[in-house]
Amino acid sequence: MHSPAERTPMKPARAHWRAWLVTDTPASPRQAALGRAYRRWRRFSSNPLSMLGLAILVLLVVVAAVGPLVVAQDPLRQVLAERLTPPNAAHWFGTDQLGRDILSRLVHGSRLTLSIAMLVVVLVVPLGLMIGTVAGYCGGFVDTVLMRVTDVALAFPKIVLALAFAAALGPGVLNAVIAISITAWPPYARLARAESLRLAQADFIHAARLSGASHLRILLRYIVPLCSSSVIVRATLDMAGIILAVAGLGFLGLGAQPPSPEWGYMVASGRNVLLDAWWVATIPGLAILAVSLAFNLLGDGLRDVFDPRHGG
Amino acid sequence: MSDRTEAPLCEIDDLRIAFAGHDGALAPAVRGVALTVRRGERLGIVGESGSGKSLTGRALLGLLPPEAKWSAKSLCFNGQDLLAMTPRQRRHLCGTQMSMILQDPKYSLNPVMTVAQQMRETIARQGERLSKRAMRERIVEALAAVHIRDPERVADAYPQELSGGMGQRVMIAMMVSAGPQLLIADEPTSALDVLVSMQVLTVLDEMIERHHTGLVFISHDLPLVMSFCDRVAVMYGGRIVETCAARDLAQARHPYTRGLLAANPPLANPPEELPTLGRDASWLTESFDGAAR
Amino acid sequence: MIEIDRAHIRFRTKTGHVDAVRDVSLHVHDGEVFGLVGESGSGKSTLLRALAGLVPLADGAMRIGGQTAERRPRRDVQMVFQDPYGSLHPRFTVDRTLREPLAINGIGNQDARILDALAEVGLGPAFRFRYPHQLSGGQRQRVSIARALIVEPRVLLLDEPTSALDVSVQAEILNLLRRLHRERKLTMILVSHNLAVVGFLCQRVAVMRNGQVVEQLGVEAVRAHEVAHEYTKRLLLATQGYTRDTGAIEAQR
Repeated sequence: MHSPAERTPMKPARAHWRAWLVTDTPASPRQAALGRAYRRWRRFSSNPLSMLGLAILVLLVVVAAVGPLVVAQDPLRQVLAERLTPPNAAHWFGTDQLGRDILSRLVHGSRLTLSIAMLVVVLVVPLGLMIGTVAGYCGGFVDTVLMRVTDVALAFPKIVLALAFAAALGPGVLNAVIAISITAWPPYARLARAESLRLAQADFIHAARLSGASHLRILLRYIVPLCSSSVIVRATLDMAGIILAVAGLGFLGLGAQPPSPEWGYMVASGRNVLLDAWWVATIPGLAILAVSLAFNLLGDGLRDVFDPRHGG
Repeated sequence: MSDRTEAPLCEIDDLRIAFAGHDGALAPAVRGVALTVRRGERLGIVGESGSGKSLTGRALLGLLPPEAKWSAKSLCFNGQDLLAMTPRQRRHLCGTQMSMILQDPKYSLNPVMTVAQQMRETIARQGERLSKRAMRERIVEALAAVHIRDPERVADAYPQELSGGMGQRVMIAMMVSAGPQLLIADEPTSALDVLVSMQVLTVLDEMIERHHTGLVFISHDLPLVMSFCDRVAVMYGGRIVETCAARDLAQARHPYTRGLLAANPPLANPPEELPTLGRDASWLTESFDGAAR
Repeated sequence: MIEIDRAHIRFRTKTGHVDAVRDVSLHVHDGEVFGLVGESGSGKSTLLRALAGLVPLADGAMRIGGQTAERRPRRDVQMVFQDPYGSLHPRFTVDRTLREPLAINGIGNQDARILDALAEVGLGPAFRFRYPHQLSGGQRQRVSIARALIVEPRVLLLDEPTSALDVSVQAEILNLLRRLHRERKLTMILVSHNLAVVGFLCQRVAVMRNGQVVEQLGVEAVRAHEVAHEYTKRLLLATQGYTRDTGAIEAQR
């Protein structure tokens, strides 16, 4: 059934879809939600820097997913005869002190970096969000108690805690992540609390109370969705810091242990030969820089998208 | 009333203001507004939100936001061409001969300076150099002239410690007591209760009479403007749709003006249903004859 | 229908307390539209919120249909708020906003009820899936009214519902409220600082000042200027617009 009308060029069909998405009289919840998502995407994609950040992160995901299968060399294979060779045809990023190929270590290490970032976010954001919104909405005694708990968590220095964990449970990436998470959630709680304090006075919350909504319903369905966008933006902006913190711990020997190809550990191990074999420390360092920058750009872009002046 | 043969104090011809939207297209906010104000005359500009009335007032003082793109055939004040002036000359004019009062004193007064400190700045700009004591006396005098009962205390207070009506009177003391030739009042009583508005309007009335100041009173409240001003210009969609003497407004001819008048619920003999304003697209483009005076 | 008996509402402040409402007694009949007029700080909005159960009473009692707040179902009393920009959840479509009260109260047939509610306030089905930022101020107030009425309350409280709207939009909303009152025979309390608005909708009026009721009178008395209290006289005079005499009286206070 290929009538001439169906073989017309793509443009009219695309225009039709676009009109469907941006119509201001949507006919179903799905159309309204898709329309809103589309508008947000348009705003996001109009900022070239945000798109750059997104592109780098997409690249990171692709490399982490597919890279280790594609890269020919084994990241752990030591060929001592080839130690500290500069970037060449056989080893695109050179080799380190034990003759291991840096490119493959970088690629395998990307999985670690990505998992670390996601793990911290998954632990920290929901915790901070819940504590903050409950504190802001309930006020009074509950607020005071929760905020003092937050202060206590804020008082712990990350590195010292990581050291303590390393001493108690042995060093390793997982323990480093837990140590960082325990100290990273307070700012999110504070942010969520500030938002929910403001929202608790809003008329639509009063209207919900008058309809008979329970406090739990109001908290979960009304307040949390409104706080979550600023928390998410903050999380993407902090991601850079988290990656650097894990890298820093790796640098101190508290995070990833040899021979793990974690990027921070790679930078640490390369610092002795920095002047002679710059590529050993610099290449992973550049990778950390790129990913941190990407998260920052993404966060900035998201902040503009979620700006309430545009309707959120 | 005003002398017809006297040159107008202020004249605007074909003012156009537009803002660039997301996609770069220009959205017009004021489309070809022409006004004159004479010395001692009170002109009211009435319109609903989005009519462009506030922007018109701000254009006179050069207070438009930087993203506004504007133009005018002529913009004259006291015979001087405002379009040809440098920003510095314009600013000097603003401080001394043209003034503005805004809607909410909480936002228009500096919250980190006391009233006396702010008034000191304004008085100093008039050019006179006064000793500390003379300055203080001048400030207290100005505050007493706007019927503030305890001027010493108010002079040392911060704006957020003052009530709305008091804050507006302080604004009037600051802006009008020096006797500017033209005052632009942008919704001066909209944030105030009705009894307090009366107080503030009395003070404004006295000040304007004393200094023979020309007034441009911008408001959304048509009955109020009718009772306070000599002439009224009604704006819709960035254009002036009708101008006439305030006392003749009840016989207004343009359907939008009549609609605005009728939409206010009258206290005596209210109708079963208030007449609603249908919007005619022709009001945005066509000019209405026979109403300009 | 509504009985307020020596109500007293007090707020704690940093330096002590503030009596927002002092010893107020009012009685509103079934199906009546009652007006509360006063300036800011008079306590009229606070009184309304206490009636809705949003603010606790320090003393006295309030009964609606013979029952106090704890005994009656929440949905019996609904409220329309002043600020159209804060009364709707920014992330909910109009459909979701109207569905919530139905879902919370376990009322069925939701789609039909939502469409009916929208039609009743003059909004077509085209508005059903819009977000609040796609609506004008007047349209948002209509949605607020629809939300209040969709649970079929006995009492509708209105806190300055039109003071943030343009006068032409205000006229539409006032007409709508009048029609709804006639069709549904609701008991309504309208709070406003504008005597003319109150005069259009209400049958009886109470004038409040500094937390107390200074006068209660029927709306015809207001129209005929037969008012007893001096404060009411001043309000009435000020509503007529600015004159040098009115101004002189106020300036001396």
